[in-house]
Amino acid sequence: MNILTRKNGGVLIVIPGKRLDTDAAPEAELALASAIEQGETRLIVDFSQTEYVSSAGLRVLLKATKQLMQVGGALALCHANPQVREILDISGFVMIMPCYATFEDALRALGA
Amino acid sequence: MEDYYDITESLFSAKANEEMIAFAGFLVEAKSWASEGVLKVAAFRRADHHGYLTLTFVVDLEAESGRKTGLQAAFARATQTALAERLGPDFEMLLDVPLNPFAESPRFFVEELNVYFQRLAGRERWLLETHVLPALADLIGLRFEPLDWLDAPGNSPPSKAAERSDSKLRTQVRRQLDSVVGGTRSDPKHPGSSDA
Repeated sequence: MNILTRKNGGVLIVIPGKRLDTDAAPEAELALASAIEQGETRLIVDFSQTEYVSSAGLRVLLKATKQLMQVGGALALCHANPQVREILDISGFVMIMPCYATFEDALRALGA
Repeated sequence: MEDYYDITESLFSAKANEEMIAFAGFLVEAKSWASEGVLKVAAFRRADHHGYLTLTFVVDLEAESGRKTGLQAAFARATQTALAERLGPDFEMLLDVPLNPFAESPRFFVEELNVYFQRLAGRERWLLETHVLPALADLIGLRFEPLDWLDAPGNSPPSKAAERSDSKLRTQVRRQLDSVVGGTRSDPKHPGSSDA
């Protein structure tokens, strides 16, 4: 199991493992999609354990964001290392997946 | 007193303000290797229906940064002339923004192609699925997954004020890019020509 989840009030916290890549993406996609289908509308993906996010990982996050947008929810990211942060910035994915320096900032952004 | 202009910050700001409408996974296939990637599609529509699609390609390099050269060569095949032949009379121009100089991480190759059309608003999906992506797949050697469309506010045309502001910022960024790395792509079939 590479993905840990926990609840903080009304927010689901998802903590991927060391790599969110082609190998880990299916498990992450399933965890996020299942959570949203079960009614979670506010998600934080905490990258504090994650060294690398590949394009497959980015697609998983984008799919979850799309799913959340359809139910009026939102996803926020936090604790991204400089390499992950850079690819989010340079692609502009931060527009729909805002990335915060701290967990508390992400919680605040989701109104929790 | 001199003004300090941070081109990287301006670029990131411009990218964050794009109206993202869709995304898709893709595979880049070369003779001896293949890399996965993700495509972001943004649309900029003007009131007169002109507009452009911004296609941002993020390709995994992992530890094999040597693939960057192959990818640059592959993307260089998407030229103004090649796209004009495939996209028809509504196609206006191609503007390439090389993002790699801004990517310090050796793990990704990033390329932005802006495809301008005389009539864009309301035809984005048709243009992308039946013309733009098939043309790029053929020219660059890509295999796209079906586009995921965002059912988001970004699907409505931007206000004129937002459009003017964004346009000004992008123009400024592109001017800086041109001066640093060259923002337009010459057609290898027509040396010395410019795509812009």
